[in-house]
Amino acid sequence: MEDVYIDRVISGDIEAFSYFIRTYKNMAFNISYAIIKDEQYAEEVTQDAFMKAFNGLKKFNRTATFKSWFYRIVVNESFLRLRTLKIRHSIVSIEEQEDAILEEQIEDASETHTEKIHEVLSLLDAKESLAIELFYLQELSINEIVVITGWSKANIKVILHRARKSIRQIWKNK
Amino acid sequence: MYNEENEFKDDFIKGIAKNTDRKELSEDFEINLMNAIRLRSEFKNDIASKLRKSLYYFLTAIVLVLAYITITISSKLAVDNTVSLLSIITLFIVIVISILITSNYSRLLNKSIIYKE
Repeated sequence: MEDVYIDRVISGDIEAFSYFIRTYKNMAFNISYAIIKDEQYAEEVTQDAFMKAFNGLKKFNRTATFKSWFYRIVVNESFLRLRTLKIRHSIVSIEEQEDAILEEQIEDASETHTEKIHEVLSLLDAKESLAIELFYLQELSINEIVVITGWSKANIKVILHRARKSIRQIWKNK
Repeated sequence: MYNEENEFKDDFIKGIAKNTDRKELSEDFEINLMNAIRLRSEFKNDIASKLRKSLYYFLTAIVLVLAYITITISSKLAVDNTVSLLSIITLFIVIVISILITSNYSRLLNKSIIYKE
């Protein structure tokens, strides 16, 4: 199905690309947001990723699915932007996270369940957050995550273990 | 049978993740992005057509120069039976320059480096 749209775009039918935007825009945005944790930047990165995909569609060799190929672009662009922004998600330690949570607990006692979940996930580092997004939310297999992120299987398992541990720890402290 | 995905089955984590607000982009995102793609594509086609035209004029000029030099050399050969070193050097330089510039044109057209921001 997607091959038909890819062929149409390659043969010059620009409008056919809107199929990919419609299908993947929200998933790509959520992946980017899981890494950057800023809506505005995540939207910009999603846009850049679509532009890159459009310009590079001729080079897509179809050994992987379009989804994996495109998500890889999104992941690479997001980490590139994260490095540029020097957001310090990846260096926030568990202790600092706990302190932040405690402070906010005092400040806001009437926090809703959804907000609490959102906050727990926002405290994870970029890699852990991405692993949770891809494995539990987009329900991708570990092999697919290998293709998308370029990390090794063992590395993904370690990150998933660490992410689960971090979530439980943060949740317990809330 | 062992399934590595089962190792990470975790209803608690899945529950937390699923309860997070999923972020959605507005309809405008698609419209704006498609407009940007259309603009970029028009720009790309415009540049490519200008490049092709420019390459055509350049090749015509080169062919004319080469023809002129060849005729000059051959007419000189017919009269004096000798060719000046300057003519040979000129011919050589023109050929080298034309090869270099033509390859540069084809690089621009094929590798699309003009489309990069």
